[in-house]
Amino acid sequence: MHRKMTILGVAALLLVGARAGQAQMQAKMSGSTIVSVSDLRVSLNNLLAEHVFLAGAATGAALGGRDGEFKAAAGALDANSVALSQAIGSVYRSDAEQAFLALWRKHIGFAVDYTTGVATKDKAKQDKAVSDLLGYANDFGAFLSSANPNLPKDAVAGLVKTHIVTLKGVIDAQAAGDLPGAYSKAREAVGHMRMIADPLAGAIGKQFPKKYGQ
Amino acid sequence: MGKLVWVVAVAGVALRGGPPTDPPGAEAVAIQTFQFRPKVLEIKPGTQVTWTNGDDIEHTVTAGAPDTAQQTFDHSLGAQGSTFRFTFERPGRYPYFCSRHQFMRGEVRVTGGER
Repeated sequence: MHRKMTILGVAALLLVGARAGQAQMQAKMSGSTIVSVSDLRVSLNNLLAEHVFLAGAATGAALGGRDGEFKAAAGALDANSVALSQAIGSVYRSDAEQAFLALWRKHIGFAVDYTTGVATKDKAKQDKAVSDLLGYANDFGAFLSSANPNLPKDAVAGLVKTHIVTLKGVIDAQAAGDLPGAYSKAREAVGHMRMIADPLAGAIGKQFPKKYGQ
Repeated sequence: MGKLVWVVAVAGVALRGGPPTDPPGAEAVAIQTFQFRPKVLEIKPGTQVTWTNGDDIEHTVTAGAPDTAQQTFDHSLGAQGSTFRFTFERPGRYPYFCSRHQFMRGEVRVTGGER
């Protein structure tokens, strides 16, 4: 337990540092200051990496029966979702921000369903959750493609599916009690988010070249 | 012949009751980026509303709310560009939603007399 707490303590410090930097970036993105595509890229990478980390923290706590920790991680995960939606809203209209948030929260719900299915060894629940997540990938691809014609729906959906698979790997390793495996998978999952953040930033910069100094 | 053509033309205008008018009341709702735009549409009774799916994903236009879906209309718009039309005859508020993405909500408000 002490070893786990130490790991979590370090992780929490890293998270606080990342969020402090993120808060500055959010302020810059939401204000009238023109931000560059590179600023966008950094911000989205930070937010999406944070998403994976917090999701893993929440699922690990849930599978470990650590209710207090789960609630804290889930709360931070939702705050990250709000921050992500605000990043979207800073580019598109506020109604797109709200639509994004609702859609994003939906996939977190499916991940919770999968985690619950794993915890209760309910294969049917696990399979349904995976099916829902794969369906969600198409929804998310359609959403971004609709907002930005530079983002092909199928390409985005494919990237989201990889995100689902990598996060599933983290959850499965956590459920098996394989901590080294879980953290290894988490690093892989975090690293993959760059494949979403980078093209998203690039596509936004291409869509609004004057706004983002292209 | 020229006078005959002129007489026919004048008669045609008289029969039509003047220059061509706008089509009967029709309004549109765009489904774009998982939103109904406009979210609230105000119309007169007898107005036909056309929903057009601008997203590359299936949406529905389902009367009511997720917990209280109604029979008034429930139409799937599978393909991008597909449309659904419905004429609202009676005054009232008609909330609707997408059954596949239940956070998508809209409302048609029918007020006043006929167009």
